[in-house]
Amino acid sequence: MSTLPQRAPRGARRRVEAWAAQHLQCAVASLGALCHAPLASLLTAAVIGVALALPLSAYLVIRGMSDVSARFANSGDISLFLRPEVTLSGARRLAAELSARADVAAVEVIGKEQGLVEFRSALGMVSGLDALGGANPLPVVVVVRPQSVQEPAVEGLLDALSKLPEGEFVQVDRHWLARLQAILDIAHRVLWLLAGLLGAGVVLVIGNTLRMSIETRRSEIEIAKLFGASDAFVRRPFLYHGLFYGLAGALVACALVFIAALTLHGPVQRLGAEYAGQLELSVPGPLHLAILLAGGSVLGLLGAWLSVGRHLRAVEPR
Amino acid sequence: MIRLQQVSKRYGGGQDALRDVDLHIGAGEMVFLTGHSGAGKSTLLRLVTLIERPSRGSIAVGGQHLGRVRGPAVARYRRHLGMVFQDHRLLMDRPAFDNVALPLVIAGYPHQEVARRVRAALDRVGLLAKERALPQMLSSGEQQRVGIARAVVHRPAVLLADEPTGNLDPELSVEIMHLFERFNQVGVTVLIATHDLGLIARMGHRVVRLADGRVMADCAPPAAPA
Repeated sequence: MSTLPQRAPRGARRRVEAWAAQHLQCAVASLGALCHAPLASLLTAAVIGVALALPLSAYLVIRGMSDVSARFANSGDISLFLRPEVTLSGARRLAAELSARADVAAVEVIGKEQGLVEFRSALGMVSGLDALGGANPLPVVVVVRPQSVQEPAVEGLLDALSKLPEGEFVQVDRHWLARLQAILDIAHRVLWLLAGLLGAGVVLVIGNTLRMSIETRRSEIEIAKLFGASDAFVRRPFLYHGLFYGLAGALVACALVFIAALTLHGPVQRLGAEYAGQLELSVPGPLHLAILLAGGSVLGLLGAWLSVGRHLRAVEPR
Repeated sequence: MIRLQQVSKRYGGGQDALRDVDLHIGAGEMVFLTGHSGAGKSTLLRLVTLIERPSRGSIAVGGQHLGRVRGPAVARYRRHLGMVFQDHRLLMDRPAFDNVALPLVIAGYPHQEVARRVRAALDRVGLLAKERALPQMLSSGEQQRVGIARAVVHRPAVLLADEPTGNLDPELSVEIMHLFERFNQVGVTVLIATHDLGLIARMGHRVVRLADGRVMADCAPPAAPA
């Protein structure tokens, strides 16, 4: 019995060239098909864009708040208010002892006079202090910055400080920071859930859009398969379709977030100014754009892959 | 080139399309497969093209056992075949050139070679002047010729045709059959399913008649007149 003739092996370079040419042709044809129905393509891109824009804008807001929280993270300083009879030199001695401790990063002594100046400039409570008739009621304060911001280490240090005979009381206000951190943690998880759900939505939208385009080209797929087209060959134009939808959606998303950020920038900055410039809403940068484009492409390819895969199985030999 | 051994095909409804078919078609042969509709002609072609698989028995094409051809190998196997259909199955939104080019594009031929081979194939079926025509601008006979050009453009070892003249008038049918003969003369193994008995009687090739899924008659071509 004679055997099937083996195809003459062609040069690897020509193979790669033919393969690249096929990809290029596929890409151009897909782009052409999308441009052929601009309104429908634009609507699909807009749906994907909105779905991608939501997690990004939520991320930017959360990041703005995280920045605020990070800036206060160093403010775990502990104020040790000394007894009124302790003098400045006594306080300096104490400070030297404290700074020798392993769990202390830095120590600063604020004398009575310096404390009064800061108090005045920070709070403008001049009249109240002046009413005291010139006597300085403020104690000497030793500000201790813990080596670590971890809860147990700080607790140990607090304990030690409160037992010092020179101390009157110890003050640290980290509770609001802990609360903000907890809220941000929740917001982060919600963000991931939101991103996951909307990502799945994008996959479904692209898959469904391509389903219709696959249906109309069903006979073409069957014919190509009869003439020996591999699954990759059949899949290729649809993958490019999905890729372009994803990329277009990512661009729309970027535009939406950019517009939103610009719209909110002024008011947020004014609010931030009220809090000594500690609040800032970031505008999407090149990194965000890159992540969006990559994310959009991956989701587009995934949607196309899933959609075509189902149809490929439908035309397999039984 | 094509060997069927004890091949049976039973469909889900319990209906037997082929029963214990033994058939051998040598390389370079031209064979007509006849019988009433439902006799199993199309089923046999679908088994050889791996659109379906037999319920029992084995099929070998070019020494390759089709039972072992699975997954991606199916696509590679089909690239050795040329197929012609009764309803042409052309891509209606693509010109004749693109239709004929399809098997070459699938096989990854370089652009220049695709163009050269497509023009050669269109020339052989007499449609070189209509390479830019869309199928609906062509007559039924011309569409079938495009289908034949597509089936031979990649120089397959085996050419399979399912009722290629089913929709054509007698004169065009003869023309199409002669086209198949010309490809057979250059060494292509040709298997044509048809019920146009009057036409094939005049052509003098081997005829295999199926009825109820069995081979009822296998008539060798008459000896060439001395």
